[in-house]
Amino acid sequence: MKIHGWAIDGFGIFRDVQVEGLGAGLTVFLGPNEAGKSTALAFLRGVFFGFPDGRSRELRYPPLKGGRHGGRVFVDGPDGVVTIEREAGRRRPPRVIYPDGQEGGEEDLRRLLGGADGHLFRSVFAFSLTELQTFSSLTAEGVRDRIFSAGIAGAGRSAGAVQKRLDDEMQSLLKMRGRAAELTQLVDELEENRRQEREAHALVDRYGEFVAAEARCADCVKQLQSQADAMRGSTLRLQSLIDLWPAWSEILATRDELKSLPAADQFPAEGDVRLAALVEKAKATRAELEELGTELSVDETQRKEFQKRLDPDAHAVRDEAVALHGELSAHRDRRQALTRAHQRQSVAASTFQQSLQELGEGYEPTQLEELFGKLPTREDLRGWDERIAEAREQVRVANAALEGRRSEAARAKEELEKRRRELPSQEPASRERLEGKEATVRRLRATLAEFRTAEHEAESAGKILADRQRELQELRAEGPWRPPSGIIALTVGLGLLAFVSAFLKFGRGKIVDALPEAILGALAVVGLLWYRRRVRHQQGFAGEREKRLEEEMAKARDAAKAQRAEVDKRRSSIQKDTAALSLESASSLQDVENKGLEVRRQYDARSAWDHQTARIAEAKEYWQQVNGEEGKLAKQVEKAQETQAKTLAEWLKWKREHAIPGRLTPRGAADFVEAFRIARRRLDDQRQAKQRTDQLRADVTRWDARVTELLKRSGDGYKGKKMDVFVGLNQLVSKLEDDRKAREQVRALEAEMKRRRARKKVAVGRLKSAEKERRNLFEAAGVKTEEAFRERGAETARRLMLEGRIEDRERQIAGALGQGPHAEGLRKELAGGKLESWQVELSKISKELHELQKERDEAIRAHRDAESARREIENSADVETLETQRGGLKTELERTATRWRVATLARALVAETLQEFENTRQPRVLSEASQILRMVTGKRYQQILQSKEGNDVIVVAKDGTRKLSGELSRGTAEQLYLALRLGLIAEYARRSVSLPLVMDDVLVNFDPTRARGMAKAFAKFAKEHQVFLFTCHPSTAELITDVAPSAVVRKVS
Amino acid sequence: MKYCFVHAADLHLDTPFTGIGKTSPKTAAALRDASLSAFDALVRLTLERNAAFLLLAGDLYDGQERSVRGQLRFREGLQRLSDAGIATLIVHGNHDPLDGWSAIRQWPDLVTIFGSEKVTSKTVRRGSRVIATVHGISYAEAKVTDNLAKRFEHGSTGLQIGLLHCAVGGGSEDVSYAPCELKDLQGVGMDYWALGHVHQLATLYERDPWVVYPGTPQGRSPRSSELGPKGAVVVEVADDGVSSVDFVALDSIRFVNFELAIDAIEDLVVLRDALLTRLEECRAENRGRGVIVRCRLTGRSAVFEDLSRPGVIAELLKELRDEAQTEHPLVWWEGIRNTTGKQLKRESLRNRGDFSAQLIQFTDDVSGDVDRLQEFFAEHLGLLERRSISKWLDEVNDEERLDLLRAAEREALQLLDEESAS
Repeated sequence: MKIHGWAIDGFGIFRDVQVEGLGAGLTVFLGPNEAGKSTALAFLRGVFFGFPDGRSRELRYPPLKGGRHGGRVFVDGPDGVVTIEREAGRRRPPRVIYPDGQEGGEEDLRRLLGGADGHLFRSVFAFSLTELQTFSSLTAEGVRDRIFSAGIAGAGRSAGAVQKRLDDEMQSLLKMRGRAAELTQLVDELEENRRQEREAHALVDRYGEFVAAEARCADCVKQLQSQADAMRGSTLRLQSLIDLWPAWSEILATRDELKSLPAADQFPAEGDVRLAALVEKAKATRAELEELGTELSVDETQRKEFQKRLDPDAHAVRDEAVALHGELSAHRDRRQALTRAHQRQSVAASTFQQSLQELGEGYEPTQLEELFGKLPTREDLRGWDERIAEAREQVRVANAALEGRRSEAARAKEELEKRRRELPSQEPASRERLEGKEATVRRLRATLAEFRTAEHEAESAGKILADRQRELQELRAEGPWRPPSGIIALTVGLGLLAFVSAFLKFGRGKIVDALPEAILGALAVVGLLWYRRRVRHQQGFAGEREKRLEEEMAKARDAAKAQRAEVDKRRSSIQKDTAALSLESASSLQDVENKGLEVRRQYDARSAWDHQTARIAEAKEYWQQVNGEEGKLAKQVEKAQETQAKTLAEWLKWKREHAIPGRLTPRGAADFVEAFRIARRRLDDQRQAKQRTDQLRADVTRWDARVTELLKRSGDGYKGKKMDVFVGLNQLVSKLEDDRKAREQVRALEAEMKRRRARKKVAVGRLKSAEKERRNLFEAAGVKTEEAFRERGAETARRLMLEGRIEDRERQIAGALGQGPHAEGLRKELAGGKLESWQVELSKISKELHELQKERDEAIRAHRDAESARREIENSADVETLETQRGGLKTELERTATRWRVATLARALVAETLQEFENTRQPRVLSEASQILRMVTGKRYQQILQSKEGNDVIVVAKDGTRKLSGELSRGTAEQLYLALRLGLIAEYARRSVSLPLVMDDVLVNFDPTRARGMAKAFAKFAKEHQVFLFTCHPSTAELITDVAPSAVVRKVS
Repeated sequence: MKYCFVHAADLHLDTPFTGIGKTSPKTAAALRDASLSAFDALVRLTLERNAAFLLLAGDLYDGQERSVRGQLRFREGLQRLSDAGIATLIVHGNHDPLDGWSAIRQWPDLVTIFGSEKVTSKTVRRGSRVIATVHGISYAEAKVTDNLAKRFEHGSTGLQIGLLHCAVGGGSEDVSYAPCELKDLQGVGMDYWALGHVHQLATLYERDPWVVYPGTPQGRSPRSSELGPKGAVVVEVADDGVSSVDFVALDSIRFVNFELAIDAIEDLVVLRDALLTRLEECRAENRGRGVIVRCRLTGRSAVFEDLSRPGVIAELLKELRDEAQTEHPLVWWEGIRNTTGKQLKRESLRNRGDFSAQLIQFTDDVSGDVDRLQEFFAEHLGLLERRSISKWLDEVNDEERLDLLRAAEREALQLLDEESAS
């Protein structure tokens, strides 16, 4: 990915700043301190990975000069420039806008950045000097993984994260210790299930045992029950005899007592009860008669007392007095109303007099009614008020307009004079002339650059030509290798001699002896032939190389010539343009730049001159326009004043016609009319108050006379006395109330006495009847006294009681024994009377029965238990339930174990692979970093290794000594960290995408030699990666352009 | 003369289901009672069809430790048949050989249990006429390696029926279950072979003789042989010859496996609805019966990311189970297997030269060497042994080790792919 440019809407000191046309290689951004280099670095980070929010410790760079906080970065995409836009301060995702207008979001941006995150970008790709100075930013979690480990795992993600996910899953399934994991919990459940299943099976195994026990117990219960039933029969018999024996004994004793008592038929039925009732009745009646006599006496006394309190005179006027008393409250109100009416009458008279005075002298009550009909309405007066006010307003508005226009004319004139004074005294050069100069500067700047390039290329062509010439000379000087000429002659001679000798020996038939000479001769011939061939080969090779060098020389010569011509052409153009710009012919690029700035300043001055002249013309035109309008406004003022005078004259005439004093304004006239109306209303009020007072006074006098007359008739106490009618009437009413209560008491007492006399008469009759009945009772019993009567009654009652007892006991025995032969037998046995024998026998049988019942109960319990156990087994689904449960648990355990095995094995696979991968891949990063460090430090440091702990690096010096990063000087450490970053970026690019490298003044702590070395490293690195270097040091920019001529320097102001 | 008889086998009364994980109490109770319910249905079927007799071809119970409840229920059912004048003829199989414990002291009058010493014959009458002769032999013990089919001889009266628990053409795996070949059955002169042992309905041969496995009346695990409708066969007889053999489903719970492609599914809510829709289809297909559902998700869509998050499948499963709690007949979501997502191609990954490729290479190295494979497992999975869990687990052989290793490789590659994509 390459950054094509950016546009900052608002960020720190930047507002509406646009940078475009950034190249793919190395670009240096040069600017003084506070020019915004760090801000630009932060902006790039922000657009790519989000701007810091309030929670972040990073600087937020709010837009100091306004504008929207954020901006856009333009990057090269496969189909053209892609825009990445992000706004700070809101949680809005970035917008990725493709060349065809389509838009994407966070995911698209992530893809463009090859999956890098903000941490990685800050640590490795875009960093400041401060961030460079720490190694920790490279070893931080996430960065190291991305680069060394998981970054290698395919598309740039963390194998560590995979391991963690697997660890989490494994932990949830099975832990090293403890029971809080799925597998251990399942095992626990299985153990519990197994225990319960064993118990359930053990129970099932006893099924047959329970069935047999059930049958055995049933037989036993049956047998015991039979024995118990027989014994229970004997027990019942004996118990019956024993229980009935007291009843039988009582019958015998009662029969004996009856024989000694008289017959019961001489005594009246319930005689004693009846006698007691009669005695009690007579006693009560006498007490009642005594009480009634006392009460009648008391009542009579009270009646006489109340009769004394009655008042016949007052009683005669009762109805009339009550009626007047009912009007008392109304009469009291009437008196108070009379008092208030007097007061109102007085106030009304006073208020009316005040109103007359307010109207002025000369007004009488009779005049008020005469003039009332002439008064104007309120609307008339309001109409006059508006007409007069409008006339005045027209005069005021006309005057104000006139004054405003006069003031505006003065201000316009002042503005015109001011602009004339601001115009420079000397007019700048013309715009056309300056544009020509500017074009010349641009052309000269380009020509100078081309001239330098052409000069450099001419120099290169010259060097190539010289190299080729030197190579040709060396080639010609070398020639093919030739042995000394004596050796060749000696070889030829020896060969001929050997052949001749061999020929001679052969001729003599000594074939074997001739062989050495023949071989020697042959070797000489072969040697000569080999030498001849080698010489020819060397001559051919040298010829070809010489020819090629000559051709290259010709090409180099032509190239050098063409470059020289190009240089001359550029030089001529430069001389022409420098002359046109009044510059030295050997002016530098800086001189041209300065000239360009001068021309730009002149151009700006001309633009200012033109602008000022136009503004003066505008001011003059305005001043003239304002002056012309002043006369018209003066005439409007005169007309308004005439209208106002006419209106006031009409108003005066109208007031006279309507009885309004001439001095009054419309509002004063309105007040006068209102006061007139008030006075008239108050006159009416005074007359009404007087009528009301007269009426009330007559009513009061009439009612007082009625009361006085009544009091005179009501009794001696009031005759001839003068007293308040209210007090007298109240006393009369109180006396009437006492009389009424006394009359009610007398009536009540008389009624009560009548009732009591009737009751007394009834009680006397009742007493006589009781006495007669008592006498009849004594006569029926044959006795004469009450004592004798009572004695006879007691004997009769005793006999009846004993006879009843015998019947009762007989019934009890018959009920217990029942009917039939068995009952008869028992009755005879009872009559036999062997109580002690029965008791002994019963005790013995009861004991035996108790033991038998215990035995039977035990057998029943055992039977029930056996039956219950059998039924439980028959109905129980425990075994099946537990087996079902076990099946489920077992399956669950197998599945969970498989999940754990798979997760554990997967983790092992990732861990083993990661270890292997780091061993084989990591040196690649370190190897590249080592090469860069070696180059930068002039081979002082040879190699970078990873520490054993894996969290630091070691540098190996030329002499073999090793140092950890913390042991290096600051400058060397920074060179190490830069080298590592370059290595990491290269590795990242191979694995994902190539992201730009952005650095902020990272060379400041380097000595010149190492700075140059690092600049070379940057230049080499920039051939494959985009590199931005922010710096405030012009020397750094010069250094970069010196070692990398293709680097572009952009000034940041 | 026309009549029918019912042929069933492999009742496995009151025995647990297998291959299902932990279930709810309601589901567990339904599973526990399912085999008994199926037997009750068998009795009802026999009564409703007014069958002449009922044949039970072995494996009435699941093992030596027979449930008392199951035995009593069995006897009650046979009592009902006997009371209705229907005979029941029984042979025992490898799961319930004659040497097993029995809580039943006395069988109903019309019940015949064949012995294990030799093939015996029992005639079945309707009125005074013999309508069929049933020949049968039970297993004396769980393992019977003899070819019992060769001991059979046909009789002369009525339909000739062979009642046997055996493995026909079962190969080496079935040597313990009275192995025989089809030809052994064909040459005996039987009209109908009422067989037991195979849990799937199978008619090995039609007419002269009919050779029929009715299958089990109730499937008890998600294995393929236990899937689908289960029941018994009703055999119609006319003029001493079999005229038709009809299968009648008796099961109360069925295992259903289905696949669901998620390609058109965008989120978990839609997925849940799709699963419920499929469930309703399954229930409609198996109307009146409980279903135990296992689903495999396939394909790829946006919901893949959600499904990949830990615990999501478990939550989805729990929600579906909760929702099915009140359903009647029973619904139990046995499991959801997620096979969605990228189908990572191993060979193309191997050629990428990256971390995944190296991981594949490592896996190949381990799997290619049995000693190293065992060593790798021992090194990394020893915790199971140390935590005393392995005693509960089936032993893992080398083949299974390879499967586990491949699964682990897939898991690792999938996670690496997800991490790189996130």
